[in-house]
Amino acid sequence: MPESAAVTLFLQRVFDSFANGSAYAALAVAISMVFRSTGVLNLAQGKLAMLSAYIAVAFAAGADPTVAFSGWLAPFATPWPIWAAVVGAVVVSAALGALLEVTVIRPMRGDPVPTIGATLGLYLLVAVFVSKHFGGRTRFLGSPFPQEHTDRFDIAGARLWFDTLGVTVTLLAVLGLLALIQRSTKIGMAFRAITSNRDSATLVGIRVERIVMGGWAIAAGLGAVAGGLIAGQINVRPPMMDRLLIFGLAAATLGGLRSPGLALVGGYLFAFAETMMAGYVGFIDSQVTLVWALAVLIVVLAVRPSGLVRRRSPRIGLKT
Amino acid sequence: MSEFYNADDGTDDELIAAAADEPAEDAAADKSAIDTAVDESADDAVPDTGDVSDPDVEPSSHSIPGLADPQPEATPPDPLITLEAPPPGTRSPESAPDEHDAAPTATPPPTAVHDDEPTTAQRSVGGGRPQSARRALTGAALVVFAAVTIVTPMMASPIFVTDVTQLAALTLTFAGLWLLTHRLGLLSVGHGALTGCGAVAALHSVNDFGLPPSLMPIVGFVAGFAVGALLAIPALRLPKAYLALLTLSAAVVFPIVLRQIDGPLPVTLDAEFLPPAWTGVDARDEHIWEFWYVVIWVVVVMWLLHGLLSGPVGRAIIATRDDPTAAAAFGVSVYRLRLTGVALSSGLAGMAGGLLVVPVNFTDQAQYPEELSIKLFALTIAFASTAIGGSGLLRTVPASAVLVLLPVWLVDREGWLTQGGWSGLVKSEYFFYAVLLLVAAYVRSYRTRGLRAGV
Repeated sequence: MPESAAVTLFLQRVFDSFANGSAYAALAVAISMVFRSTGVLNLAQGKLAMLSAYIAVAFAAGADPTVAFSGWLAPFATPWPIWAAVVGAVVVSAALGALLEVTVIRPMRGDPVPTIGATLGLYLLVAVFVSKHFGGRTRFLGSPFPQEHTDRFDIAGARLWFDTLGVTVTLLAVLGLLALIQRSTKIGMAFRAITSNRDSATLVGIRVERIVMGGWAIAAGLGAVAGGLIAGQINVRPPMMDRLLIFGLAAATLGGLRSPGLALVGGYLFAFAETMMAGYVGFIDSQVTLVWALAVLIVVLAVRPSGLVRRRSPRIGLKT
Repeated sequence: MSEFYNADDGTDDELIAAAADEPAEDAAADKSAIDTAVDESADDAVPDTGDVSDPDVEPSSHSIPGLADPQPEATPPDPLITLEAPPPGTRSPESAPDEHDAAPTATPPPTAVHDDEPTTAQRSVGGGRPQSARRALTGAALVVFAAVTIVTPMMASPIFVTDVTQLAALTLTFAGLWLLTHRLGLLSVGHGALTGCGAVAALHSVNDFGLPPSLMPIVGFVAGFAVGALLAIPALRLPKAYLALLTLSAAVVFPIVLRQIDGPLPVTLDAEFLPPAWTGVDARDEHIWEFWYVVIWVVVVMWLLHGLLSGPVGRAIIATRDDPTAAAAFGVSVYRLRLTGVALSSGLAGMAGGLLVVPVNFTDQAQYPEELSIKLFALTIAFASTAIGGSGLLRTVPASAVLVLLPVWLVDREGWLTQGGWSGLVKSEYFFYAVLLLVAAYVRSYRTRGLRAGV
């Protein structure tokens, strides 16, 4: 293969990894946000994102007899534009996230066994809800960004689709906005205070429960962004988020489940490694890359248990 | 005390603290005393004390205090023997209230741990009846169980027998999870995948390497043990959520890997699993022999597990659960013990997988989805944190029965599985498990809160 063609192919694969990377990153950030503020590992995060994608489909498709939402979605019978459907799904999901925090997670008081049990209960509940309401069928949402075959930049022969670029830029913008809010608003500061020391934050008068509820809402909203945007690339179907959950967890682990920044980088890294392995290593197809994600997860945990974060006293110990 | 078991209201802490403050004049006796204390709190520990009536949870742990037990052989294995025997025949109705009444006295006040000689009187308080009567009861239970085991498969329909054989095999998966959850105080959401690992390894050992099918449980055990250890090595050095994270990842990845290895279609066992001539079972009635084979394996393994957990290793495991720091101070290598425990637990799941191939004869990626692991987790939690069950090894039987028989029951309901919408949702299997998990979680956290508030 001539050198330029090799470069083009490489570049193409890098571009291809952007969209997946954005979704992994969003889920990883959502998981680490919830974990660092509450110590809860939300195993249902992926399923909730899948539900969000279906909600977006319900908005975008309008009244659809195959969808069992018959009566109560009647006001939304008119199909919405896709971007509006995604925004609607984000709003609904955020509300749902807040609701779940209040009704399911908060009563567990951080006790790990019931909390993990409850998130797994949600996992099953969402799975069965989707399978019964949407028939578990594969659905098509489409992308809010132009998807014609001419909608692309050609860079050194490689194609960067507007769609991919749009997904990546949107997610980075959303995450950047969140980082900005955390850095420079009072609510963001309260959130950071809770992350660093919950008890002290309570003492200085921060309304911890509200902020934590907000954290769950934002995490669910982020999942909806990921689910809604990635749906343009892959179809909406029940197992669509299983991959995302594993990659998201693995990426979050890179940040020791506590660093959204590293989780973001981890998301893109995993997507990059996935595309490269599937592209260059003959015997690895795209399904098996999931196994490699698990292998990387194990290796990272074995070698750098606290993730790639540099910290003086890693949270390793017996009584945890 | 680990936050996992805060519900134990601190009794163990007090006991250990009381013992640790003691002058070192009789260190050995102290150690034994702590073991006693830990041991005796063991049964109450998981179901959050008090109101869970726990009649038949390992009476031996109340009655045999300490390491220096003069008659370890006297440990009556009746929880195992009553494994699948019908309750009325195996246990006198009076025995349950007896032991329940005795339960408060079984957890001694802190001063009691300083008793040098646990007397036979104490023992009979814990056991509720003299040794000879216990032995007679055990013998009777054994006979009844053996009779039921031998007769049932001959009377029942082959389909039912196959179901019950699967039920028996899966009991071992639950035993593994029970060890992990209630004894080690850890969380696994991947035991379905580990069971699948055992099944696939066992099947391929026969198909590809020509091992005799009778070795399948052992191959399954080895496979489960290895995979469990691989997951546990990194995860156990981290907060407990990580083991859940890794095992759930493994559960999601497993069907995908299996699809890569075996393709989308089921793989059938190449060997025949025929009854030997000495059993007198007709070759067409292989389900009878399969049932006996699996039940014998399960009973023997459960008996060994029970023995292991009633001894010093079992007490050390409980100590690491209740207070890892104190356990480490007494020379228990917490990480190594937990690692061994998780590997053993996974090995049991793998062995169950190997045994499942006996009645089912094939493996398929659709058999071991991640939901199976979640269902296993749900039943393990539910049968210990609600009033349904205690923490005993015997609770694995009803849990396994629900897992195997609920789908059978649902299939028999006309149209339930295909129904959509809200009513279909409520009638589905996953909805049942979701509700089970949520209810168990609420109940458990409610109790924890009550205990913390001093109620």
